[in-house]
Amino acid sequence: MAHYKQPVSVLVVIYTTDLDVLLLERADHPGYWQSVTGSREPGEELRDTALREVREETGLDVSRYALTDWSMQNEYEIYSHWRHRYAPGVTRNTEHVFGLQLPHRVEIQIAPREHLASQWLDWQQAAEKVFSPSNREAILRLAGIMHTLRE
Amino acid sequence: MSNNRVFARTRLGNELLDDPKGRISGDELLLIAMIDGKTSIDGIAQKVPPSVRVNLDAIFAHLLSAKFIEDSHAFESPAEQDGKGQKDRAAKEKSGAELEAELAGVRAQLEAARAKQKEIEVGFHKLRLRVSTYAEVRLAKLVSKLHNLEAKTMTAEEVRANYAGELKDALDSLQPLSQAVAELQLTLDQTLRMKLSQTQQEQLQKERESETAKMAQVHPHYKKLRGLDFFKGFANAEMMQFLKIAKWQEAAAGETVLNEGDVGMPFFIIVSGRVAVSKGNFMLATLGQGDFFGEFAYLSGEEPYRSARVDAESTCEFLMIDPLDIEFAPMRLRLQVVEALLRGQVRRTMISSRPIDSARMDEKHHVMENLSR
Repeated sequence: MAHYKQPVSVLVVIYTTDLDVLLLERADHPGYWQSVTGSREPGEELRDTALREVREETGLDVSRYALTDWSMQNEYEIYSHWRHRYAPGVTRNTEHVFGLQLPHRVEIQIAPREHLASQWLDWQQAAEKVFSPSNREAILRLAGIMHTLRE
Repeated sequence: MSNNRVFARTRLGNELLDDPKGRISGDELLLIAMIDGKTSIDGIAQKVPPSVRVNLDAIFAHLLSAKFIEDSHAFESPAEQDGKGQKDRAAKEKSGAELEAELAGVRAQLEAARAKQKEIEVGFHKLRLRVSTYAEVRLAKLVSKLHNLEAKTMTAEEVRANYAGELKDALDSLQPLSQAVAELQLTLDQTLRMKLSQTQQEQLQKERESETAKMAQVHPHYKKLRGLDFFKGFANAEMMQFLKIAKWQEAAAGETVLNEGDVGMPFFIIVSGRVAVSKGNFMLATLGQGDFFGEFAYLSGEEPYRSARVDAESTCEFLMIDPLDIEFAPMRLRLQVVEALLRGQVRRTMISSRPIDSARMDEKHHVMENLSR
């Protein structure tokens, strides 16, 4: 029996206290940059999905950093060439947004089959660079939250 | 004293009456005119003024003597005169009665005619009344219509005047408004740069596309690309949109463009040069200008791994297209791309179903070629 992806995923914005944001370049779509993403495995808690994907895609020791659930959900149409990975008839995915705060920029170990490169950018540049609207929204919201906290 | 004598005019008298020439006095002429052969002296006397009446005997005597008049029985023989006189009198009386009867008849006719006239007059009066009433009513209606028209004309003019005022006001307030809009637009644009939602991004994409429309005409490779098989079904505008999302890539002879098993979803259109497609130790095909490769990862529905290796056989130019860009592109362009890929696949299927011998010959040829390199 085919193993379908669940139409539930996480988006984890990894950032520093200086509001630098980590972006990864997709291997299947060179030139397309984004935060850490991944689909939930069967029986998995969303929080665990977030921690697992960060570990797989960056090599970071997630136990050292604080993962925050932003209670932010995005529902969007699954790109048609990605739909075959989901059960028949599934066309929409719900994405849950998390944040992982790092004290400063750190070295990243990318997963070669998934990503081609990684880079740290300040939040404005990062918001410009990402291709997914929900990713951009999340980065802008991060900046908004941090500014509010500082003032 | 009564005088019932009746005179008649003689021929001489008639001539005189026709042409008096001052031969007799006016009174005499008057009396001659009144002689009619029927009226008696007394009858005439009653009709003339008193001044004439006193001289009546003398005037008649003169007229008789001058032979202007004669007794109305003068030409009858004296012998017959008496008998005839009685007969005449009877005839006269009789004709008098007939005359009276006739007169009564005429009077009756006259009365009837008068009655008829009166009736006609009444009818005429009524008709005239109706005509004048009709005319008045008609006139009144016309007048009221005219008033209405005037009123309407006035209203229309007032409305026009009002609108002209409003229009002027609107135009006056339009200038600052459009300035405000321009300023707002500027602010909005600046805001958008920081915070782009998906739809806003699409709008920007459209603007970029319209810019592309101009740019594409001067695209460095536009002419070369327009002629490629892949773009046969593309409208010029779709061509331009496509060129905006396609990336230009070059490869030297012998360079590996794709490795079997690599991750990647973009596909390639060959603009110039030739490539060899192989899997393991098997040569699958050589492809040239207008052909495409690397589309399996996009269309297979499997994981995005490269199913074959592609090497440049000569210096090559490619257009590289990422399916994600197709996903974001307008639907029509997306259809054109997918159709072009489908046509290419069908053509390949037809070639690969040629008689097996010729296919083997091709394979042998490729293997020989491969070994020689």
